[in-house]
Amino acid sequence: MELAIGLRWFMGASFVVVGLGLLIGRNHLASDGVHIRTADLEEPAAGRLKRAIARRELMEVLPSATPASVVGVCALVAAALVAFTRLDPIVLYAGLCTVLAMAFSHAYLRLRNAGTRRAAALRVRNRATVLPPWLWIAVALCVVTPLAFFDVAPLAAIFVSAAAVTIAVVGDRVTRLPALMSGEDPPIEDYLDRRLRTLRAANVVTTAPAPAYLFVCWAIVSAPDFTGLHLTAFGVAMVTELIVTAWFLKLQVAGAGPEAGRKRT
Amino acid sequence: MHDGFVTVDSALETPPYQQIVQQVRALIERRDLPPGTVLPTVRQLAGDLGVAPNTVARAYAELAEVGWIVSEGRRGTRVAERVPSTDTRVRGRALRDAVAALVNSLRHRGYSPLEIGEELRRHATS
Repeated sequence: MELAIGLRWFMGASFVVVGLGLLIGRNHLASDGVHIRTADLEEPAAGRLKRAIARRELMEVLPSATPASVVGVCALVAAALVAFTRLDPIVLYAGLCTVLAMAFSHAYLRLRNAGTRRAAALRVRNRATVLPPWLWIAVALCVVTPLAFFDVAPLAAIFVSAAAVTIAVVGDRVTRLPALMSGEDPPIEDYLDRRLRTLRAANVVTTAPAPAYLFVCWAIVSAPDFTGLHLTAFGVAMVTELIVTAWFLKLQVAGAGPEAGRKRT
Repeated sequence: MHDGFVTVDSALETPPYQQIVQQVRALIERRDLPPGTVLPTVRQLAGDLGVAPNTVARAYAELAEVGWIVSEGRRGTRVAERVPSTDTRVRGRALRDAVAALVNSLRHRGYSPLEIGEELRRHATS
């Protein structure tokens, strides 16, 4: 009984943290500029890159904080429902994961329909040229791990897994988005397009295991007894989440890269 | 990694497929697209340029017909190993295409025909 109350409080607090985090950072998350560091570049590369970012933000009609705001408000509503009703927090969590998947899908559609395309690099592009193949395999394994806990919370397991799969599919679609280049400065616009594509696809794809991992953590604590399948699913989800998060952080730390111009020594 | 870029300007009189043909040929001629380079699929290039897939397919077909590129079915489209650059007529056409691509690009950036002409003349005679 105490464990159930503790889990309820933990889930409620998590909803508050996620909700506030998304609402506070809604504009920051939407801007193209935050993805590309220009501070360590020298002129004229830095100026060209900044102008390319500004043109791109105009074409994409950025920043658009709506998706992050919607998910943030839903998380706070879920926190209130946990605090003031007897609704099962894991059902609310499954609902929040579904909203998150819808927000990613909406953001993808907006990017797909953005701007007027005029220029292109004559280079083949596919999911393997954007993100490493091992990442896809790891994420594919992780997003189905909630289904191993079908006996613990059947409906939530299906919804969380479906949301995680949807997010991974959106990530795959992001890798194949058409390039968005005005043609004013093709080399730098091409660099920016590739960098943003990688970061955005990585952001989406590495988010996909998170709902599954959190669900599996909750389920393994809530399960009356473990089975081999439970433990395997938990292990896969935990290892994937750790590796994927570490890889994404490393990707974020990387600067604008030598293609955008010479770095300061 | 090669630096081959193509732009399409709908404001120009030259049809978009012809703009693609001219620019790809100029890139091959200048060796910015080396022999054997795999070109993007029709669908990818059409999406990137914001044109209909038929436009790119027509451009690729024209380039393949003259021998600049080779279509290898499911393996994709590549720049031909032997481009028809020794022919005088082809050389002249490639030069015209290269100049046309440059002029189109400069017009797209807002330079007037007079400015472009003067600058080209100055470079050609210096």
